[in-house]
Amino acid sequence: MTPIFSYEMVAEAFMRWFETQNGGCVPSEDERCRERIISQIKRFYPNEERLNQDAYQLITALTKSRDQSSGRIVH
Amino acid sequence: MKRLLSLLATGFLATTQVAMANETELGDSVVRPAAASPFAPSIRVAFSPGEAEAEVFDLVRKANKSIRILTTSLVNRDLADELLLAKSRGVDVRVLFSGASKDQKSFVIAFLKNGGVFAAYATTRQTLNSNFIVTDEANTITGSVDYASTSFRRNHETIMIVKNYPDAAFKLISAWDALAAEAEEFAPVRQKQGAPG
Repeated sequence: MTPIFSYEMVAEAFMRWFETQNGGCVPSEDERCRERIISQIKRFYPNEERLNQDAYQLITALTKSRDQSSGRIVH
Repeated sequence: MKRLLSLLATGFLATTQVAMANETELGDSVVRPAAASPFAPSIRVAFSPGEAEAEVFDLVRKANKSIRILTTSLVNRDLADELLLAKSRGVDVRVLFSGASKDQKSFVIAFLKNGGVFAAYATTRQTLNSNFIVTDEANTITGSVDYASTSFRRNHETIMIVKNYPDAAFKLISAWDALAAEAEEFAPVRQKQGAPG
């Protein structure tokens, strides 16, 4: 059964990965940064159906990459 | 025989005059019409909403050696997919993002990097608001359009498509290289605490 992912779930995984990239969001702008990232994901995936096609792979890749030193997300 | 030579000379002169009349001035150089050869330089203008989107996709799809992009936005899943396809057929694809804060580009940068495409965030003192694509060191698209879906479908934008004109391509590639030299690539993922390096 295909799990249903929301924009927020993908954003959450992405934010955790982004924190490993030069510190991620500027701490004082954390909330606005989060909103901008969610907005970006929503525009990149205009409908949740398309997001769901990628989300599992995307979240898995983002989660894995946090433990790797290459900086490249791997499948 | 004299008559034949005269006819040939007249024909040659007429052809030359037509060719000259069709030439277009571009800076100090002369661009001849594309109809002469598929490899002849050509210039076209396109707008969005309208043909601009198709022109951009066409250029990317036909690239067979390299693609350099400088843009303020590429929030466009379809175009990102085209870049990954180009990469998979052996094209050297490099994308540099400019404009406001890097977090606004971060997701797309991650998406492209995941596909093996060089993607980085250009950091300059000036406001960087350029958008261009160079393919195969000869073809360029530049103008107001960035490569986000909204720019193609909602905004009114203008682009120029210049094909088979390496002078323009090299100038843009030089600018791209200069910006890339100081661009911020996402750093390697941090090592776990206690791990070497």
